[in-house]
Amino acid sequence: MSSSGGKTYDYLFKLLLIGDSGVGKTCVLFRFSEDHFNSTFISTIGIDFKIRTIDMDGKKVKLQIWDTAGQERFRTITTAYYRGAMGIMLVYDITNEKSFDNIKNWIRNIEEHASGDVEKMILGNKCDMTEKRAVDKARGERLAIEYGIKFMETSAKASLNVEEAFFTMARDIKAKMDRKMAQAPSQNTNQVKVKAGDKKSAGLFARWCALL
Amino acid sequence: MLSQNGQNNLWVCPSDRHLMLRSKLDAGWSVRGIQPDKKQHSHSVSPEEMVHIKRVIARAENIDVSEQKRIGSMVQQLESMRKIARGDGVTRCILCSEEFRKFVGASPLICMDCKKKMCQKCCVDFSTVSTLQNVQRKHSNKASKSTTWLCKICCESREVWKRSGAWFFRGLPKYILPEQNPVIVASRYDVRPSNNVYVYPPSEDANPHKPAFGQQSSSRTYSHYKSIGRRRSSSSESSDNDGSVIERRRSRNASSSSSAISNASSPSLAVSYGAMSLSSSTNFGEDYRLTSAFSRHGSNNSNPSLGVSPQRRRVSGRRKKLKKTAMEEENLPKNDVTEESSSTIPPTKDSLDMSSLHSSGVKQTNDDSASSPHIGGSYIERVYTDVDNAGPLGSVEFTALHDPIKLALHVTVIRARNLKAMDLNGFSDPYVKLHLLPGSKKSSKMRTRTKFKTLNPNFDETLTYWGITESDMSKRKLRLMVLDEDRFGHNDFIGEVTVTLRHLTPLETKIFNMALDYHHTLKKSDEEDDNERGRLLFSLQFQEDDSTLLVNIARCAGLVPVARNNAIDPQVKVCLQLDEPGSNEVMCEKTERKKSTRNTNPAFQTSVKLPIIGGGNNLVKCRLDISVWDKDSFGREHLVGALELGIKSKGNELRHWFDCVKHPGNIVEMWHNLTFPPDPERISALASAGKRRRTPRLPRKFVS
Repeated sequence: MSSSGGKTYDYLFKLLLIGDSGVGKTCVLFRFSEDHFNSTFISTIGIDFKIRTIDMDGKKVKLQIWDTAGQERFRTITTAYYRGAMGIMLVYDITNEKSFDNIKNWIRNIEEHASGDVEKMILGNKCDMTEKRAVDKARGERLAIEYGIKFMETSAKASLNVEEAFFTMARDIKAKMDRKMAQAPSQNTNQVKVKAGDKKSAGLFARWCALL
Repeated sequence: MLSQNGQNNLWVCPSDRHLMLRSKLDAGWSVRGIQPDKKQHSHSVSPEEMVHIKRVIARAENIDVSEQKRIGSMVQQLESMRKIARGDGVTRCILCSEEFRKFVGASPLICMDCKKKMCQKCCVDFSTVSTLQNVQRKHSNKASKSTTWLCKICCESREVWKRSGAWFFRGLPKYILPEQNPVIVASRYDVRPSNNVYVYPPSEDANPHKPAFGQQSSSRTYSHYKSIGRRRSSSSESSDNDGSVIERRRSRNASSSSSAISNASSPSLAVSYGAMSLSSSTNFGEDYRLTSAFSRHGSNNSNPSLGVSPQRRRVSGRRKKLKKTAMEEENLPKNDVTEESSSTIPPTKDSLDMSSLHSSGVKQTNDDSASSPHIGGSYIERVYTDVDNAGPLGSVEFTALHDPIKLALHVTVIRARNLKAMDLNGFSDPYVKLHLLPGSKKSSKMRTRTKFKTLNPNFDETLTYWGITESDMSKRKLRLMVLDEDRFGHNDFIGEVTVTLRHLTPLETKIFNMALDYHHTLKKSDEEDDNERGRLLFSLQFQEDDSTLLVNIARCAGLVPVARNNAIDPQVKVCLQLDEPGSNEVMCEKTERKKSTRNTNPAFQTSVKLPIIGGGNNLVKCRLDISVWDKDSFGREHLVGALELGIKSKGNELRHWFDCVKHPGNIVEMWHNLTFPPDPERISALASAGKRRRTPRLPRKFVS
């Protein structure tokens, strides 16, 4: 009753954008949600979010995308939103080496505050500004491989890969969800369980022996 | 300033875990690492910025609330599905309670999650649901059996886990159950797919896709659930419609929860029912968490107990922190932030409890998940056992479930034990007879099949009383008699038990296991009620375009046989006439006669179409007489009971009539009590008028 017509959806995914100040998180989000670009820099105050519902495999997925302020002074507020996020986008600016180096710190931040099985992704933004490029695409890719997460170079201004990035993220989350919920307690996990149990008991026995 | 400093330090003071984490960081860069910075910055959040942030949080809260409502309605739907499940999952299908017979019919399937047996109608092929898993299985074991089955409840609960985000947060997030809506969709009214939903009062939008509950062809209550399942599968096929499914489901929830209120005669009862459903749903929440253990167990954590506990600490730590931020940032009211913490961070107190439960022993919770929610239907209230002092007669075990939506009382006679031997061979041939007190001897009795030559019979038979209202439940008693069938002569009485139906909670299966008692002579008050003639369920539909009245006789219940033999051959006659002194024209139609049945609850499901004399506008002036007739062995007809609808009728009848006249095109269905009319001659004259457009031949007695 409260939700009528187009407001209904099947899944709600909460995403989060983090990264240094000025890398273009808000612009990426603005491009994705409104398909517009604004070149004037307005620093995000604390937090903000946008919503867009996308269709995926016949399901309506509502994305609630939280945009965080990159500035240090809002860190207390922004970190509060890590926990609720199912996917986190780490954004850096390809013209700004410092923002790329900080990705590692942001990842640590995620490890500290976010849920363990959160989906992550690195975005190198402003990839249209080739003449000012400071970080090679290869470096970004290497970093992503190092952490075992996906990587994309995007441009909010030129509308490059923005849509793809969010769709990839949503698809990954959905795939993870399907995988998790498809696990049959009887079949697949049972086998795992037995194996794990064996190991555990052996370990316990070994420890007990060691104690003696 | 000082105090703030103190707070800051307090807040910044690192826990073991933070120190540990920090030692891993080579840069030493951390949120909490640089204290002086922190202090400066926390002050540099200006009041305007605070207002802005608050606005964003308020916006997010709105979304959270609507999401919580969405989850709540899903949870409620799932819960109602569970409540409607009636089988025990061992000898009967867990959902529809269809009995599995050896050799005959298809073999039962076992649900992957709850490990209960179910029939093939009530299961979902899970391998088609998740193709991904199928692929996995093909890789892992090339077993011949490649299909996995889930019962519809488990499938739905998985779906709820997906939709609510519980899969991610490892527990259902906070949810708000849908309120008992003042707008009532009276689900007792049959709703057919081709027609508009009848909404009372008619303020809601009509949804043509609303699923029809039951009543279509099968007479079992379970068809209600089946239709859910059917709809579910159809919705997954047509993915475009999927969004609207939620909406449909929501409206259905409202209908199921508030249906009892449509009974005008007992508004207070209806309210109490609503309250009950609320309280039971909270119970459900806990149970649900229990059952959820498996999926958490199946998560990626190799050691779940280790994986969970730090998370717990983290959550509590952050909660503390949030409170601190609230104090730091004075402009933000404390309430706001704490609320926000609970809404944006789903694993709140509940999930903490859950994780502790989880870490306490995976195996245990797994067991619980398998056993707790599904035994013998949805929620078993209490088990009455006084078998310890079972007398010489033996004991009987049965369950009772009242469904206030379908107005049905299901009594499943499970078994009897240690019965007294009545026959010379040292055995008995027992059967169980149900008797609803106070009620007529003939109409309120039902019996099971006889089990021959045993003292420990397993009956496993469900007998259903139809048209049992809340007021019936509060007044009446159920008497179970165990009797011994004798081929010749009178059947012997073994023992009996009596249960007061008042103690039953609607939609909750209660198991009784009681010692048999000696025969009690019935009190006068428990004896036959002369006014009682049975009940009738029918629907009316006023079709404006061809100015006809469509009457669908759905079923009768508790008919009192009038003829000598206990069998009853019921036939329903419907007469429509102008309720004006001068008019003699009568439109009459009748259903087929149910041949010599001992079933006092025959289902007709016949529609008769009556043209309205003088056009549709005259419907208001019409009166509708519905009468039930029984034929004795000599071919004479006897009036069982009748009722009259029209502007001059009262109570339920008037209400039904009004709803029908007011809302053309809508199917309005209701239960009615049959009465013995004060003017039986008139009714019989009407009925014998027979075919259409004939003036009734009035018997002489009546004319004079």
